[in-house]
Amino acid sequence: MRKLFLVLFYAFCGLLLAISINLLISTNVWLEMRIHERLVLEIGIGLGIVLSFFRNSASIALFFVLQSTMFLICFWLSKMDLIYYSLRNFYLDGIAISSIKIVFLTCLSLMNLLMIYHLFGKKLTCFSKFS
Amino acid sequence: MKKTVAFLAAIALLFSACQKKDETSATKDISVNGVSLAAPMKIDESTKTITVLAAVNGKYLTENTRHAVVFKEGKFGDKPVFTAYQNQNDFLKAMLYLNAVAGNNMTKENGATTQVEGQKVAVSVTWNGAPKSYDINEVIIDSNHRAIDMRFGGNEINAKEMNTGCIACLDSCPVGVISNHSYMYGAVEKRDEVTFRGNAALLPKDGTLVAVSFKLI
Repeated sequence: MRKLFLVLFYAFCGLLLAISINLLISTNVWLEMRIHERLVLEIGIGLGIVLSFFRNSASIALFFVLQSTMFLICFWLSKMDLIYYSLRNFYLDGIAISSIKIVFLTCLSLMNLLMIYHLFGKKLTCFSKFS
Repeated sequence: MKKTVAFLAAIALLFSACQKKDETSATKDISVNGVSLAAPMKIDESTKTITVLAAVNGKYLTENTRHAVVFKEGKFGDKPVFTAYQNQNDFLKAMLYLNAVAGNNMTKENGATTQVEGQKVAVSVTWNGAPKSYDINEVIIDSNHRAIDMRFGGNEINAKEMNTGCIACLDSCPVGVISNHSYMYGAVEKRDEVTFRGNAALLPKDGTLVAVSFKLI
């Protein structure tokens, strides 16, 4: 169970990293036309899963850094909606952008709440110390 | 630990529930200007018009692209303003069936210095609830305000071999079946001469089915 959690956690971190990379790619039309968002997400999630096999706990610091990076890039480029289009191109064709937005932000919010609960409330064994 | 796993399972369920809802939507039965998911292409010999079903890609209502209409399962199926449900090869056959004259003058080598030739094609877009059929110059914005001049480039071999799915490109193209005579290949991607994006003020929201008509003139 713990391993499954770590795999999912780091896969999600990989997803955040891949979204950030896709946002940066979108600033160059030559790259944007050639690199498929799906591929970047596959590599990001794959790297996350591989990383999970070398870690014994979920790194809260890593999650917050990747999340902050993603949002900072979004705000700098004013491309908030591109997050959801990136996700849609990851085998979610046919799903409304509004649905993807709700699910993604719900996941992100719950992850944050879980970590806040760990940091300020009961310590969850699967998470690392905030370092 | 169990609670955490239950939480993650709930997220997975949320995703799957979301997917089911959208897959079972009523879009399968929708017909737009005579085309539908069951019959995504219509050929009208009397008016020399081919109509193709497509969906609006909301991403390119704000982002720059060189692809106007691309088959959804082609290599560039995620890059156009309009994602077509009809493949480029059958579309090209339909053009030839209507005796359209292909330019076939574009190659990768001469692309940067050549404008696509071939019979002129008037491209228009409409959707259910639209007050009229809009010309491509109304639904796609050229940053230079130069008119989009679509030509039947042909490119049968490249279209098949490269399988990009390209039906209509926004600069002259050695692969796309139809492309824009107004700009040479590389104008968008390499030389930054122009940017193209869908007209968000006019087009319906992302995912809306539209009928794209190609009329030989």
